[in-house]
Amino acid sequence: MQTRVCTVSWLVFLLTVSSSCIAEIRLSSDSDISPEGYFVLSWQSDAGRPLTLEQSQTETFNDIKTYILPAEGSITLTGFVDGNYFFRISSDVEISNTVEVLVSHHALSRAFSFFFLGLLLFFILLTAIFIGHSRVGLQND
Amino acid sequence: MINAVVSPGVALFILLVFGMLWITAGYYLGRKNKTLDDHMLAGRNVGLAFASATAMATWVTSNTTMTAPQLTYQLGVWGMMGYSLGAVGLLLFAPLAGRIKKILPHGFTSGDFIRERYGVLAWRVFLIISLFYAFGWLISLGMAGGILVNALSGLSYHLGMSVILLVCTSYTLLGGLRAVIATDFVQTLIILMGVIIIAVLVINNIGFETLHTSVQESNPMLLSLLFPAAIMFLFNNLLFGVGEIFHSNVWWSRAFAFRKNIGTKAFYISGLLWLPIPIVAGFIALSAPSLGLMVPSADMVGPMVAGKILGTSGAVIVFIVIFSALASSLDSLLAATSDLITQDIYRGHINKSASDERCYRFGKYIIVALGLATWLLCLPRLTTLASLLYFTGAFVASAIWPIVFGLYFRWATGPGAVAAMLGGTVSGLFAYFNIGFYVAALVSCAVSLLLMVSISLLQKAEFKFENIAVDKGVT
Repeated sequence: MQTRVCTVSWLVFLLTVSSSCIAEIRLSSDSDISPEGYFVLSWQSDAGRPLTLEQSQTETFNDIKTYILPAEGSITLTGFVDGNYFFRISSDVEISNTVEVLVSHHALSRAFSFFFLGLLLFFILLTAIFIGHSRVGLQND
Repeated sequence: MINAVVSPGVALFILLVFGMLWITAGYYLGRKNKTLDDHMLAGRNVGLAFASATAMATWVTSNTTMTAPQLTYQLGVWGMMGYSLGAVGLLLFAPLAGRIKKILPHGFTSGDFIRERYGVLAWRVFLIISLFYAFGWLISLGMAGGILVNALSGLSYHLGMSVILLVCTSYTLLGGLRAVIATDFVQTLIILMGVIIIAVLVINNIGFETLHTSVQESNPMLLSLLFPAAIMFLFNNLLFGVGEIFHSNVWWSRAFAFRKNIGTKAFYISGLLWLPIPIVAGFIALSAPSLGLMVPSADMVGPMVAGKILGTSGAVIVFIVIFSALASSLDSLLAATSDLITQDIYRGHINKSASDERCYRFGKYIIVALGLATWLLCLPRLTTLASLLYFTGAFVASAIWPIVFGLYFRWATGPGAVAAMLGGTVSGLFAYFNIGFYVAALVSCAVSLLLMVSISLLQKAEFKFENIAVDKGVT
């Protein structure tokens, strides 16, 4: 009985220690879904060693792009096309949690609706100033 | 985190030398101020060269030198082009400046016009919008100072922000609008020369082909002409700029201060001079990927890239240019906001019989209070510059139609203006939180137009411009 208690305690200890090791580098994103193709990743690490940010479009990180990072801070990533992006940070001995960001840009129909609305407002503004100024000029003349 | 390119000692030296220069100029020029008109409006006698320079320098600000690179970094080439459309605000204000001077030759603030044109309720709504915007801009300028110093020298954000606020508050307090305009002239020369030098250095240091290939590979959306958020941003930025300039007392005080028949020309010249500056400032942000820069916050990209590609001497030039740009806007905003609070809140609401001398003294206390309040609000660095700035877009774009229709057309009414400002602001904020910062001003402007025209036309009123009381000295 005592041996079993010791074994269980040892396992609990190991699990606690290992989970604290995994939690040593914490990676987070300011958004899970980005409609603009940019987002900010932040991380914290107790390791004090240089870190590597790994970026991939697969959850298994088959094809990765890497960035060298300092021990603590944030990075603004930008210019992404539509897709799922996975990020994790690794050091010599540990790997952070994985963060997934879905980049899903606004529909072009929506974008052009705002564009043409803006264009219309601009023309109304130009016309109002032109007519107003012409009338005032005529009155003064 | 930051690889400083200017040593902390050099950064402090630049801050001290230019700080002392501006403060000395403020003290020297302030000795000539004898009346409220002198302090608030530089004697209403500013000539074309100074008028053009102050309009251009005030509009070259943290927005131009630091937010333009941020928007290029986030929204690509459309972000850069869209930002340069901010020049349209200055160009369109040119005819308005002539009209303002004509119908309100003795006016002090934009609030004077709204009160006389639309009544007390519209005036109060306008003041809330205007002061909210002024604080948003002041905070963004203070933050930009801290970010600049931190990104280029590694000195703390709080130190840079505090020094820049202290310098600008001091010389605005000592010299009033006269000092603001005179220092703006010198700052314009520094900004223009600096931007030309930076452009040459950037072109010599980075090949277009390398830059294009690198961005195409790692950040393809930045070069895409079909970048949805950037397409939405284009006219939003134009209307935001128009809203900022049309409503803000920074620009109205200049229209009042410029000599007769000068305002229109000055604003056209300043708009044309301003146009290329955000393109140069924004362009350098595109080189961040090829330089392998780790950009912690998008609003730091401008100074970081400049420091990396231009080396220490280039970074010193950038430091001086941005410091000058910040100072030229911060002083103008402090002076104009102080005027608005003194004239429209103190004299308009609290002490209606206050003499000019009392207002003159009160205005000085307000400048100090504004500097202090801005410093406190800048202490927690809550958001990025662009997010903060475009939040105010929902407010200012709602004031475009009340100003334009109010200046030129008799049918515009007070209830129409109130509904336009309130409805525009609420809808703009809704768009900001539910779609993105890049549509807030656009939505606000559209809703504001509908409300202004429909309510005003329903009332069938005919305003008589000749009845504007402030022009008769009944302030």
